[in-house]
Amino acid sequence: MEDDFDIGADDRTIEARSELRAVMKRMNDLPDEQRQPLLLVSIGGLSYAQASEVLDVPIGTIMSRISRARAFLNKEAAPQVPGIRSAT
Amino acid sequence: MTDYRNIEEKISAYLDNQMSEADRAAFEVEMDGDPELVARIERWSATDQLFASSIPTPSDAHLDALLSASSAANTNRWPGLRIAAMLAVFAFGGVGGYGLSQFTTNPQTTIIVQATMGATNSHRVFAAEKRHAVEVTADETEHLQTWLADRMGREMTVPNLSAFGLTFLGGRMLPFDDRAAAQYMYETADGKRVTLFMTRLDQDENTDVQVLEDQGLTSLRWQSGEWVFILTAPLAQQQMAPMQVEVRDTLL
Repeated sequence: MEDDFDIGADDRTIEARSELRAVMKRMNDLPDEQRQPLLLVSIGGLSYAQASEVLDVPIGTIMSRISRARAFLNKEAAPQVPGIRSAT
Repeated sequence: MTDYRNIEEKISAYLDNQMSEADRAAFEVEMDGDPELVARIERWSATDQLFASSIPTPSDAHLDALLSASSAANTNRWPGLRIAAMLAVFAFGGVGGYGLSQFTTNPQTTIIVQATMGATNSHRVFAAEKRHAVEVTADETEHLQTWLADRMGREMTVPNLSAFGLTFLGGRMLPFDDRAAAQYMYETADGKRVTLFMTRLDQDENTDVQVLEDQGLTSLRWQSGEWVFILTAPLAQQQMAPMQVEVRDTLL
């Protein structure tokens, strides 16, 4: 039966597909140092502290790289950063 | 109080659930008075979700195998890393420092990831079909080969996998991105379906076979020139390896 044909969960709209493709393209364009902490945290479910240990960089750096990665994925300008972090 | 250097760090920490209770409460007060900020957070969150929804999750067994093969000490320490490691392997090949570099020797382009998703999705959809599993059945193999060769712009000989106990069922054309893809379907003696997905990519490359496992399906993927081939089945990798050799030799 033709009616049995079930696309179900794979039925993304064309728009969502092209947006997904754009996001994946930007994800590919990210430098590793930004993509890794973002993936570890947002997909991998690690805390900033865990990502910091895994990647062996300070938590403040994790936070900064993740926020820069997200700004890029959302086509926003790179976040402005003051020269000195007052505490870590 | 964590020292956030800018609003972007706050938004990220908020989305990642990494704010202390006090910071979160203060940020939510900030959001209350700033609809633009709320809209921005929602946009960022939607992007996160869009991306996360596109990432398939392979089996725990596969991840265990990957990580036990890894020599990096850090990978054993955080169970959550298993998921991130999977992601890197499957989609972006980026976490080379974790002993997963054998999977990352070829840069993965978006379109290869999409082709893999297309192949496994098509497998799930059509392998479940009884009467409509294929568009052109095996008794019209000659027609199928001619038709697909015409549409795909390459020779499309059906690989003979009978030596591995597979019966050829037929094939179909599928849309992929802005072009055509082809799917050939086989069946094992006990009714398991094996599919071969083929499409043209934008770049010429020759790769080794990459193995991907996702929710009960094993996919072997390789690229030969501008063509990518993805062999998918609910079978063990070792069982599929000789089939892959035969397919590659036939459709070189």
